[in-house]
Order: sequence, then C-alpha cells, then structure tokens
Amino acid sequence: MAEPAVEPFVIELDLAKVERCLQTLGERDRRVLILTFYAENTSAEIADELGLTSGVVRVARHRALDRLRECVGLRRPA
Amino acid sequence: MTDRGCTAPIEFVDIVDYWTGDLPRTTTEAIEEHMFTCAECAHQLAEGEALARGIAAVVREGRFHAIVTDAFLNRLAQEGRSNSHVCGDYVLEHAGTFNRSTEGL
Repeated sequence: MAEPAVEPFVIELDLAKVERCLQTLGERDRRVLILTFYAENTSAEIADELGLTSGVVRVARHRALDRLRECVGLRRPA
Repeated sequence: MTDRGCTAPIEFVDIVDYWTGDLPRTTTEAIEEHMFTCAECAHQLAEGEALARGIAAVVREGRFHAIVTDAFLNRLAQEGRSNSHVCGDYVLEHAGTFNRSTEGL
C-alpha cells in the first residue's frame, strides 16, 4: 500500500495564549466559535440559536478564526 | 510531496468550512484529495485543527467565562459536567432563549 505523500503532523497551541486571544474577540464571535468547536453545532443550528443567518455565522467564524490565528501566532506572512 | 508554493492553494476560509462540514460533498472530497499530496495546504488544515482543539480545550477546562446557550449547556451535560459548580463558572445572560438556570442540571 502506497504511503501518503504528506506526513501527518499535529500543531499544539499554548492554551493560555488561546484563552487570552479569545478574550480579544467580540462576544458574538466568541459564541460562534464556542458553539462551533466545543458544542459542535452546525452553522444552521448556531444561526438559529443566535438569531442570525447561516451565512452571517460562517462569515463571523471565518473572521474570528483569522483574528485568532494571527493572535496565537499561526498566521504566516503574506 | 508537493514543493512549497502550492499552485492551487486552498483558502483558509474553505479549510474552515471543510472542517465544519459546510461544503458540498464533491468539494470536500476534492479538498481531501488535495490535502493528501500538498504539505502546504495540509499545514493550514493542521492550523485549523489546532485552533479548533484549543478553543474546545479552553472551554472544557473551565478557563474561559462565556455567555452560554442551550447548546452549550447540553454539551456540558453530555460530557457529564452537569453540576452547578461547573456551570457556575459560566456567566448566564438574562435575555430570551439564552436565559438558563443551573438548577436541576
């Protein structure tokens, strides 16, 4: 059986930094991230819960993750 | 393995949508196929996974005060973290559907 061309790798983050960076986000964005990645809700479920559209949930999640990614030091220079 | 400098890089927003299951099946399959051979995009996926795990871990460990919803409380109950001491760590917003008491949990 052929091995995959890319070796799998795992990135571990400093949870204290993740916590501090989450604190820098707006309340709505924090809710979206928590409901997505902790409660494991779908975009539709989150939209229904927060009174938003699925599209708004996805945009909020994208922007929040972009900010989080930069804050924790994962974003690479353009 | 693909050299650094993917010719068809997957945008991080698409990686997030892939991770959350918000993409059509055909797109998901195409991304997975691409990830199998592209180290650069696989690394972006690993970053997304790390963020997802980190967010979940911060909340699970009670390191983070959040305004909760039914979904959040249900998740706590599923994980057996249903005692009022744990729920007391989280701030409850008194407003409409988000207004939940820790009693009876």
